[in-house]
Amino acid sequence: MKPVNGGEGRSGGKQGLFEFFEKDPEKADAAFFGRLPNKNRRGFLKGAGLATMGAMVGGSIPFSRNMPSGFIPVALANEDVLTGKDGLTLLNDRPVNAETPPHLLDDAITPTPRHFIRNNGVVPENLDPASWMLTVDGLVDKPLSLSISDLKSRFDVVTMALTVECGGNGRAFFNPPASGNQWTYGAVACSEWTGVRLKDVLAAAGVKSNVVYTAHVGADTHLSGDPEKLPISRGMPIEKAMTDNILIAFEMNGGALHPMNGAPLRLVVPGWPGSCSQKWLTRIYLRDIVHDGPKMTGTSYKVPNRPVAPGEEVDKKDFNIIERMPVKALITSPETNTASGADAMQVRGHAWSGDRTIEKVDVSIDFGATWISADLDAPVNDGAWQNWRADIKFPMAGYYEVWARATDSAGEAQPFAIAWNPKGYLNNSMHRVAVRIG
Amino acid sequence: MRISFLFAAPFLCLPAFFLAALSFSLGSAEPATAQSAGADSEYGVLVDKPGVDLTHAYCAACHSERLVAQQGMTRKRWDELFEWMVEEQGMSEIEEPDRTIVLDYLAENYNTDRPNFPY
Repeated sequence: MKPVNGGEGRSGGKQGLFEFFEKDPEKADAAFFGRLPNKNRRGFLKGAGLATMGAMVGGSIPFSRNMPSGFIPVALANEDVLTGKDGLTLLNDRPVNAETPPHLLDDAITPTPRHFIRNNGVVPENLDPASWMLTVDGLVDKPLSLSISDLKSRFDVVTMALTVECGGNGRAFFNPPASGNQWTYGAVACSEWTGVRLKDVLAAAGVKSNVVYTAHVGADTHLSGDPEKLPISRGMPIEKAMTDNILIAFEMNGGALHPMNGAPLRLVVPGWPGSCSQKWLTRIYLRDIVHDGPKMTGTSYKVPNRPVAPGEEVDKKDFNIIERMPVKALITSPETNTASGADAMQVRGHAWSGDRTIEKVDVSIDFGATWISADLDAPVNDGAWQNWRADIKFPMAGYYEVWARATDSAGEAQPFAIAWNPKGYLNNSMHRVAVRIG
Repeated sequence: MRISFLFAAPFLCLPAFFLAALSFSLGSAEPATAQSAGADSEYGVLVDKPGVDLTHAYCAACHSERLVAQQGMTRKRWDELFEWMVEEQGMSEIEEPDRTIVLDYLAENYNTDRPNFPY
């Protein structure tokens, strides 16, 4: 690779690289990439230059002809995608997907640095709350265009602890494997969100009588770089949208939203797949048909309309859209593979069930033969998860698995095995942690 | 790290090693496994076997190669996934002979038996 003026090569040369291009972008392009801009000042990469840039960013560049001269690919900026996060496991860095190890979800309210990240595209560059606008239109009596200040002054501002879980949480355990991000346990969180109720904003716009669904749009951009493509645009039935615990949120745990969690404005729809909770929210429009934006179509966020065998091929037309997330519990203490000299410990964690409450949580240390009832707290508000704890004694030294099983208000408990589906959604089988005693 | 018992056991009994394997921490300073090229190699976390260079070049153009390395699919499903990416995600068709080379690599190293997962 050609040395860069002012730098010592790639790792130490980031400062030099920016200065080099800043001084004279056209000359830098020619020297660095062998690139000559055409008269529109769009990049024209000669063969060798394109290969060089491609090698540096780690791949071909499908939209290279659109790159302006002097453009430095973001990939070379080499930022840490987990800045401001603490202890998350990185599954994917483009788009960024990172989950939280269960023992780091021990807090009753998930701190911002511990909230998982699930992105579909590229984070928008301009996240300025002062200039951010939300459009509410489609089948409404009066379309609205609202700044965050408008939201604060025109509507009730509320703070609620709300559970957000990725539809694919637990996908890693599917056998045969399902395609997609291989989440284990940590694509779930319950932070405190401050914002206005979606239903209040929709009511102000006036929902027309023929509306069946919402459609959500965010400012994130498609991975391919194509400005015409949205990375994700999902929605929900209007009856769901008009319930009390869905927020258009502009604060997270009393402070600014994390850029990776949708700053400066997002939807929070507790208990439904996280993909309903549009991040970097710019528009909500109401429709008289089921929304068909990206990630609403095909088999995205859908499961077969009948039980299927592991690995079964299912026709595309035989899938239903996922709505509520199923009952589930997470053990946040002890951490798995803990060794302890004591013969007793407190086991604790959280439990939740979309649009329902938890009836009980039971814990087992003998592979489900016998169960101990845990103490269970009520949720702090509708849509929050519920904290539980149990004191357990181990009869002798050895290897144990601590299992937790939640039962919800409709009498449904967590299953003992995965109900396999082709896309790896809705794994609510029991969390099990390994403990060595003695 | 072959997990061959899984096919016979729809009820996942999770012995300690599997739990340990799944508590992998990808963003940390843990050493790369013997099979993975490691996050700092020119192919990222893709295993360094024949076909890796083309696979990395085509796949990493839009998204991280980590997404590829997480999957475990039959050759047929990989092929169908290519079609989906072309039809819905703006990928260009992969022409022959590259398409066969890439499919061979994925079917060999990222099939349902998951010889290279977790990385």
